Amino acid sequence: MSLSLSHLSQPIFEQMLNSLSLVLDKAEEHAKARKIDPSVLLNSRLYPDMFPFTRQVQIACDFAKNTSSRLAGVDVPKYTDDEQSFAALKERIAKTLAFLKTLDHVAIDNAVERDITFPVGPMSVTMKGQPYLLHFAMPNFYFHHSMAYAILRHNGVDIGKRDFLGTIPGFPKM
Amino acid sequence: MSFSLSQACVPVITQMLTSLRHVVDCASKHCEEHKIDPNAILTARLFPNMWAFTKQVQAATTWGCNMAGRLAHVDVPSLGDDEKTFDDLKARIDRALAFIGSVDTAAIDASVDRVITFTAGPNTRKLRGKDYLLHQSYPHFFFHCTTAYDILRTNGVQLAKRDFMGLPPGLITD
Repeated sequence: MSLSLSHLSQPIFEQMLNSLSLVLDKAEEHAKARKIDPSVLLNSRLYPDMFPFTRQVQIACDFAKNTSSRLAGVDVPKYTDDEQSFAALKERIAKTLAFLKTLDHVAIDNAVERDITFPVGPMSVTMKGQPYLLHFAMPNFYFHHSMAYAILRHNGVDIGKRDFLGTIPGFPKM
Repeated sequence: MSFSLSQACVPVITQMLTSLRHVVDCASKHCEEHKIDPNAILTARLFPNMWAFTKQVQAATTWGCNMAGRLAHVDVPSLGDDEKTFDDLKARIDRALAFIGSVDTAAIDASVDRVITFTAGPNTRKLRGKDYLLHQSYPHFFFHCTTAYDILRTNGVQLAKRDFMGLPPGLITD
């Protein structure tokens, strides 16, 4: 019994990006209810040299989009990083999810042993498809996703682990 | 092309817990260097109703052991929850890594579709092995690894993404 790379990437990105979108709703509601300027949350950071909330959401989307594109062997679409509102960030998530749906799962599955070359800061790095997904892309994706959640929690937005997890696919019918 | 469930499990947990051990070590050295009472860091939280650093590390190691043990269909050893120092936490991570390294990977591979029963708070839940790993355990596991890191960053411990990532297996260097 075995797994495929598409299996190991697409439903995870879908689960977690959908949960991130709902977390954004809650952040927006929180700002409205407490009369907090949304830009305070959008620009909030856990520490002065860490990325702000907006950037964390952008990067989480980019890890889903870039990783999936590279595995599928298609050009990585470039999104402009100009979101200034919760609505714009939600749109970016929706755009990312829609893009993922266009990818050929067979092409992704065939990338297990293929060399994937990608930039890390100023360097160019190569990994085989499987370790690239499991050991580079996944930890990074979760890092930025968890960081976005942590910034909101740190600012008092009333969200819990259930919001972070979203809807878990595969619960068998009881 | 496909790969096995154990490949998506054991090396990922090993990578992240090994880097978590390193991160704990950095926190310990930071305290020594800056004459900070280790308890200030061990009990630090991102928000009053979130878990403290020690508990985040405990949760990450517990999730690591649970996912490997449950998928391998063996009893998961109790790691205890009585760590009081950075050294205690490192020893806990070592115990977790030793257990994860000892599980039978063939037994994990056979669990792709086996129903795993687990408790989530007061509820008993069931998921097939692959869903349990990818959609339940991964998010929790990465969540606690990231939150532990976040707590240290907000407390000024000098860490960077590469400390969080550790050394991804499969990096091809020239």
